[in-house]
Amino acid sequence: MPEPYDIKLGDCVDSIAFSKQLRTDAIWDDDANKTLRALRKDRNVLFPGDILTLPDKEIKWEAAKHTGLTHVFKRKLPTKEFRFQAVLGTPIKGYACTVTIDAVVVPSKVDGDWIVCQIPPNAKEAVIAIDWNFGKSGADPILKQKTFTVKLGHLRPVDTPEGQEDRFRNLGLFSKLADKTEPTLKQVIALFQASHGIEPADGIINPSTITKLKELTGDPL
Amino acid sequence: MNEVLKSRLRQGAKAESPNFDVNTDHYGVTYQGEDPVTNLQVALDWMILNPTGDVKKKFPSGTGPWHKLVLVNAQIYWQTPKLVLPTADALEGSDPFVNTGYHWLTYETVLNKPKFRKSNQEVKVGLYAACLSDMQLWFRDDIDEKPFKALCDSFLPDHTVDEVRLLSQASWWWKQQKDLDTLVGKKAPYFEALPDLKPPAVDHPGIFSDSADEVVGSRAGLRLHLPRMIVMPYNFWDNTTESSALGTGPGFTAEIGGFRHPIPLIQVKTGVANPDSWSMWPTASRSSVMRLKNVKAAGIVWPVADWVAWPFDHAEKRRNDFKYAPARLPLFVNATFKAEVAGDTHFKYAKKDDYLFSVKTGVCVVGFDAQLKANKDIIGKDDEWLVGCMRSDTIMAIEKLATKGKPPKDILIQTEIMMALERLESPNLPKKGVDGVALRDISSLELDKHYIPPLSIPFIAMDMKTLTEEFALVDNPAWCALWQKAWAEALGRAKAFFLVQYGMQHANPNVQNYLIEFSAGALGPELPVRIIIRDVADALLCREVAWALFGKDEPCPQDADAHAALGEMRLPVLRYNFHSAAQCHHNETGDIDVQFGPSGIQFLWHRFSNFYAAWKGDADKLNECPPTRLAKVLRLSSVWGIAHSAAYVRTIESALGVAFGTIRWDHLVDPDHDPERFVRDGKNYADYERISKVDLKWEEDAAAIIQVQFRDTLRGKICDYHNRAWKPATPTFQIRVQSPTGQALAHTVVYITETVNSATSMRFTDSEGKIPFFAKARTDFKFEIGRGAHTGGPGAWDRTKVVLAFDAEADGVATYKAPAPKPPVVTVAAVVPPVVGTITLSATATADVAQSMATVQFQLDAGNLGLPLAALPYDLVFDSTTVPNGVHSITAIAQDADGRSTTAVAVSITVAN
Repeated sequence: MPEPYDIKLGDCVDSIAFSKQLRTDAIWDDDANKTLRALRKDRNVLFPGDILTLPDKEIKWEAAKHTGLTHVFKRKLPTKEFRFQAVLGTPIKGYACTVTIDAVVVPSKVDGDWIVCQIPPNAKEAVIAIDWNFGKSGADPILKQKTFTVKLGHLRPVDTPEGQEDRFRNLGLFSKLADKTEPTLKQVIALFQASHGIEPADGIINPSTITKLKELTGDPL
Repeated sequence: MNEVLKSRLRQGAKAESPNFDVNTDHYGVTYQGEDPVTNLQVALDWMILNPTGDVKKKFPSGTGPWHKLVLVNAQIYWQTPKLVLPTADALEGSDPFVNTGYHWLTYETVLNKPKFRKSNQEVKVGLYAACLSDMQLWFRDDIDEKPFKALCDSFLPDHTVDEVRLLSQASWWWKQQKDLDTLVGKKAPYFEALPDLKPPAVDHPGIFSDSADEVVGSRAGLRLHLPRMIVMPYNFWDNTTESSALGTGPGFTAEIGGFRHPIPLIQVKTGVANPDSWSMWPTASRSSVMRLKNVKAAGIVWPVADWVAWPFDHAEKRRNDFKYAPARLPLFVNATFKAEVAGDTHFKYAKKDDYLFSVKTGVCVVGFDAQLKANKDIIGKDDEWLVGCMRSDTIMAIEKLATKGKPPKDILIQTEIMMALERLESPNLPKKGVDGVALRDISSLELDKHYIPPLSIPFIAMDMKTLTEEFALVDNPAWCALWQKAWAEALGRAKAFFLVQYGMQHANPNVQNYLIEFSAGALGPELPVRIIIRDVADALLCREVAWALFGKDEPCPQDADAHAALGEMRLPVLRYNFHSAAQCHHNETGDIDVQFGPSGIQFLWHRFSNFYAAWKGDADKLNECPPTRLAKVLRLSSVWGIAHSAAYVRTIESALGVAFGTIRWDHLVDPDHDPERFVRDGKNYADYERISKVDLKWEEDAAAIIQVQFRDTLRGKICDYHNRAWKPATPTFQIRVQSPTGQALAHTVVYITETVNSATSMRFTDSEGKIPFFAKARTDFKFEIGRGAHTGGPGAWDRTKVVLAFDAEADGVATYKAPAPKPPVVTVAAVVPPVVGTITLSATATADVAQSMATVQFQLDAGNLGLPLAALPYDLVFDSTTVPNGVHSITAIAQDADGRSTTAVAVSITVAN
């Protein structure tokens, strides 16, 4: 029997499929998820509370060539392609970086302006260290690396206020104001709009703002 | 003598310290003696044996004052409480430096007093980069495309030009207002109630996105934004380790000079000789001309390097050179200038270069020391540094409204075009002090013009290119007249235009805030002079003018609580300002002395020069100036100060079409005014004070009257002037004032009593010898006019008065031809009989108006008695025993400078020895 799955923060269809031993496509393309597909569009970015329907496990039939033998089926450990881009106004090239997924360094390769690596579908954290001479406060006067910690699967859909906040926080736009308070989402949207020449810069989300936000944060890829 | 000492020093230095370079290193020793020579040998011997730096050794064996024996760059100096001029071979002789290219623009640097003196040879600056999110960035509106591209290219290599425009636009809320557009084409006053248009509590930080250290992402991937950086110049020619300037260290390891800059920085260019860095020519203590360049292509990471300490020793050496330099320059500075030219990298403004800018480094904190005592150090406090940004945007906005962006060429304002400072509201930054860079537009200067910094005036001969001793030409009437016109009066006009056109005035109008522009090939007496105003950040907004143009139709609010009302003014740039408490309470629209500036400070430029240095702290040092020259300079300052202020008032009058008739000019025409006073008493510091506080005080008096009228009655006139696109008012009636021979009397004082209302005022003629009237034309206008000492009521003063009437036939111009001067008036004091022995005979003699006395000759019984007396008092000691007893006749013949003479009514004396 198909069963409903309540999406939690950190989930994506791949991570669910991996843990439930289902095929990602089998879940996402299931007719039962038609509404969710239309709503979220990106299987990688779901909203906590979304209900995903998990189909029955598919039965793989294989003609027995020999009877009376024990057959060993090896489940191929799935991986997922994770790609990122370092941007300094425009994408930069020719820099060295290290990608660590859940404390394991994984190999990466250059694909145009992007760095590509394979990660487990249920990876929780990526630490990306980019080499450059970036000074930083603290005991270590000079860090040669700028390090980003990415909580994987935690990004919420761009058309929700929460998802917009995620992206604005990612972009560092929630830094505190002079009075030490945090700006409101509306203030941040207005700032973002003004900074990118989106009119009206009234703090109310609109399609141009969403488009720009998606472009800057890199989703959907 | 010097050579002998130097030779001995070299020998001693070599013996003791092989690394010591007598030509570049310096050290000194302090010793005591009745005069510099006593114990000199002891000090010298000690110095030779201890040539290892800045020696603090004292020799208390002697008595008397302390002296310093210092070697600076192979030059030996004594510093004593009593100034000792450099010995003869330190002077350069009689071969003057000739500045054939008129490249005076940065020579003020060389001519400045020691504290500010430096070479203007090309040097390289260090470059570092700071995260843009830690910086506040502002660009002026309407910067030309090419220089804007150059700025972006140099400072912000990771940004497109459009991004930078947006960045500046988004950072300042007033730039986002569409208000100005709605006002274009309308007439002043521009005030209309604006619904709900209030400035926000804080400015937008105006940043582009940098990804946070911790981000949330999908498992498909994401874009990561590295912090974008801005390149900043580090001026290691002016900063030592004691400096608190941003970038003195990596910026985050420790407190520097009491300031903490916890900002991550990247060092981009190190070293003093780095050809890839930016070029700098110093022009003042923190100002320079810089040629910028791009340091990095877009789309690549910033260069990786560990932070290397800047070469602070350059600033250290320069500071010590100043410290040990003589209190004032040698009187001739020809060798200094020749060395500048020989260096061949001194600045010449010879071609337009999009990458060339006037750059102020260390906008808030900089210098050899932290400059902690100077207010400069706390400019960053309370947003005050915003002044420069607001002023420049205000200027652009007002020009757009009044003249459609094509202002008349009366003055040229070098607006600030860019500022980048540490962000005040950054969580990392204490609100203690910020540092940064400001740029001014140098491209507005014209290539076929010459630019003279006023600081250089005392050193420039009539040909405008030969260097002289400081104020060597103070006795030359033509030289004095040239600069009175080209500087004193030109500046008065410039200040007036700055006020009535832009509503601004300098809080502290120092000489370095201006440049004098000359046309090539027109260096004669008729100079087309334009003043360049080059420090807009120092300007205050005059609330009366701003209110007239942009405020409500009611008197300008005056008290300190009126900021909210001022904040309602229409132009957003203004409104921002008045909502900033710091701008309101002391730095903006303040009381009268702040409003109109300290009187005449421009003319006291010897504050910045050798004369001031010689005087300061020791009045006796005045003795060391060339005989009486300082006294003459002080007197000239007074004369120029008056001319300057008169030009200031006249320009406002003709612009607005008003007469500030109630201004009293008594200081100028005081019949007791003794023009020789300063020469006579020049060694007295009191006269210096007098110029500062008394002779120029009337500018403040005038300012007070102007301010009241601006506030109460002139709002409409100010608006009219703006609505006429800053064209002066057309007079309805003019009086032309001529000499007895029919020549125009320019810049001349006359008294005028309007017969209709008996109001008497003192007026100045303009450069064409005319006095304009702006009242409604009336055929019954009559005036009494004359040149004479004014003693109060109408008619009481006039020995030469003429009645003039409105003359419609002559286009409203009536001519007053001053009558020929009269001979002097002379009287001999009565002598009480009988006369016994030796007595003093006294006479009083006064020349006619605008004439001067030459001599008074006493006579006894029609024969000359004693020699002619050429100066006050006209007293003669008379020994009556040399004449027979009996009645005699005493008289006196007074002669003025032109030879007109009068014989006094004779006085009888009875001699009874």
